[in-house]
Amino acid sequence: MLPRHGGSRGRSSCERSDAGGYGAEGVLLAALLLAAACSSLGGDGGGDSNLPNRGIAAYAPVERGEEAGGRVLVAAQGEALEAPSAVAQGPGVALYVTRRPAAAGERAFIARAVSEDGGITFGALEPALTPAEVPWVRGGVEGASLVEVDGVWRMAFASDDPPGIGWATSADGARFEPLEAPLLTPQEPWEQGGVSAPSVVLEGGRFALYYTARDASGRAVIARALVGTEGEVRREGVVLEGGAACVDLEGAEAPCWDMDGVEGAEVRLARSGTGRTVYRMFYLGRQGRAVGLGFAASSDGLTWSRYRYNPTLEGAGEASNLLHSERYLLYWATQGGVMLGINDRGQVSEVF
Amino acid sequence: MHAAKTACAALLGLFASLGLPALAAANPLDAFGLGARSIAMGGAVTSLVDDVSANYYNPAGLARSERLQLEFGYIYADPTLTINGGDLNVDASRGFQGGVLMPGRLLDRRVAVSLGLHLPDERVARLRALPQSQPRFTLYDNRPQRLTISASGAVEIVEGLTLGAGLTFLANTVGTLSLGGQLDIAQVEQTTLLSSLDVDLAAIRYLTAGVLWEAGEHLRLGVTFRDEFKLRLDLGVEVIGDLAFNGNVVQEDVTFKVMTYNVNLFSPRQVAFGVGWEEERWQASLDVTWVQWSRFPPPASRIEVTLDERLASIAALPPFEVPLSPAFHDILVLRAGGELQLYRGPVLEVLSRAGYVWEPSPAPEQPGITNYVDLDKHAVSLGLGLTLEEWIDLFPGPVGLDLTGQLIHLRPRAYLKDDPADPVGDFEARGHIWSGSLMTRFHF
Repeated sequence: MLPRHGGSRGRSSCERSDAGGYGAEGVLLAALLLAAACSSLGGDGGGDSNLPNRGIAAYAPVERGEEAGGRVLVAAQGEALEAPSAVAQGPGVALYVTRRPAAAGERAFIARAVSEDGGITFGALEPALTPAEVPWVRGGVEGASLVEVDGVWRMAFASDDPPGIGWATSADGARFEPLEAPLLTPQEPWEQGGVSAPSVVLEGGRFALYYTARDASGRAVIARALVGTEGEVRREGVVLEGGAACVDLEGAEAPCWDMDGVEGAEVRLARSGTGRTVYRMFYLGRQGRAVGLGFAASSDGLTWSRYRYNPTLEGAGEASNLLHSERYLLYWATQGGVMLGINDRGQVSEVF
Repeated sequence: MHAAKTACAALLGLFASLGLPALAAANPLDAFGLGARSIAMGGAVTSLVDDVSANYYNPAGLARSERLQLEFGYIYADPTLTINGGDLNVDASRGFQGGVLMPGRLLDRRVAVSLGLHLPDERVARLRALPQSQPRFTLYDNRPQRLTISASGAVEIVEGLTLGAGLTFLANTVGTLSLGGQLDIAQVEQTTLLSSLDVDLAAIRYLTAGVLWEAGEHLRLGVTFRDEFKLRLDLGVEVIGDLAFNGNVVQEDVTFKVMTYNVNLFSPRQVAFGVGWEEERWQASLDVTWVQWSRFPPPASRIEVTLDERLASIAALPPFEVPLSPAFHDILVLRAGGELQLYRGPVLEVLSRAGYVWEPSPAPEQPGITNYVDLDKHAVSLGLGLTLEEWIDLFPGPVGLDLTGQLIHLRPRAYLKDDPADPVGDFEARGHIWSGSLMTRFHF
């Protein structure tokens, strides 16, 4: 309650106002004290949550049991699991990998495991495509990339003997039927060392195929070709090569971290927060013995720009990126299996 | 009686200008306004203001008041500001507003002094410098979160023409943490550093001034100048000591210094022109305010690291981004407002008020690394004023109650990046802010 007659002593002349005998400054002081009593120095907040998140970095590796060593897919003794490719199938996540058996003489094949808990734990690996089912292949089949069109799953895969990229289809995504002939075999100078690691996206009414091409010296680049609905192929050339067009934090030209080649691209089409189409690519870059996972993006699928903080993940193998249940999942091959990292900070800003 | 009032006013004014710790005439008042009545009229009161809110809108208006006024109340502004549909959870701005206005006469001319207050009830101030690449609603980051106290005075030069001015005091913060001793790079537990802290809170002052001309029986003209103001927050760490390896000193008196330079709480220079029309039962006004956002400095930290050359030979520094100029541009803000007497009886007067504000964004497109988000703003406000004459003995003068609601609509804006691999990428920003204000006014 405010004092009607102000303080007891030392009242200034200000208290004798037209207010009828009590001090105006007393009321003000009381109001100030009340306000101060309700004040604090504040805490967190300020408007920096739910920031746009493109899922490029950073990924927190999923903790697994000691036996799994942090891997969501564990390779059997002596075998290797390579080139993961993750897709959403129904409510779950299907992960296709190249399974390279340990036993001499056994050929690599493509296997699939399914997760019903958002891509964290997977069931057993089952064969999805074996070399015995592909008439033109003498060696193994590997490096699956999948896309669904009108309920039909299309798979691009690679063969090392003879080198080439093939095509297969499936109604359920579990077992695939290949075409009898390869889709693409080495022809151009930059392909003389082989073609591998296909990645296919649906672009309008056609498919855009990205693949690793090696020249005669073995130096790897990422190339692109268009694939029509009848399987006709039109090459569009090299779209990303190591040691070129790198920029520093200020946007100025800078030495590249991937001087010795780029390979193993996975390209996904996305829609930005404003509705623009964005081509997203995770790829492997090499410099000497060092290997890392890089990111690049493009507006047209032909001209690519590198992420200025590359590499996003050092020491990783081929990787696959998936947006699932409002979080980004990144699977990458490593010794002894496939690792998973999750990026679920804030607001996902691209849909793919 | 008037002499006594004037004496009181002078004393309080002197006290205010000498002793109060922080004084301001701009933010967060730039964002949401001061005083329920003025906010209800869209802030278009440069030519019509005659209450405590004149501290912000036009100090010359203080001399229009005939009676001692005491005001206090509360304002609450709740923003919903989103990027790509995700609410950034920008803090609400809320706090007490009020003040005292003491008019008098000196040499047969009207004079007045006043103290205006915005006291946030969550934090006294926030100084925060985010990376320039981090999207943020730049004008709602630090700006609404600050204690604001204005001390102003006004005098009638000739009949109908009054001048007013107010001073603002705030403090720059410049500080260095110095560490000295021995730094062991092999056995951290053997590191011994003694610290000292040297921080200066240097006072800065800036001016608010205004002119108000009662150009006729009904016509009112006003001009207000609010000077630019910015707070610096410069912090540093300096290490001077011996560098040791497993307890053995390998270098003596090596130095390592990190300084961060920040500019926070920038308030642009402003000139507001107002024209108003007063009738017995209503009044209306228009304001145009020029706001000099082109001098907005980078609201991000600049970091400088200085290594002793002996350290530089064994340690590499990471690259630091240099904050780019935000390249804001000057804007003109349009305001319109009015007040209408709905009822007047022997005891009660009821007034309705409305206002509108159009404030274009000073922020340019953000195609590069910076993400200083700001949007064009439309604000509409409605208010109700009640005045009770000789209500109770405790308050022999009129007692007013002003209630205001305001909606600020931020027009959606798409931000497109030139670089498709930009770390943030394209985004769309939009939002709105609801605010409510309740003020009581006592006349004596």
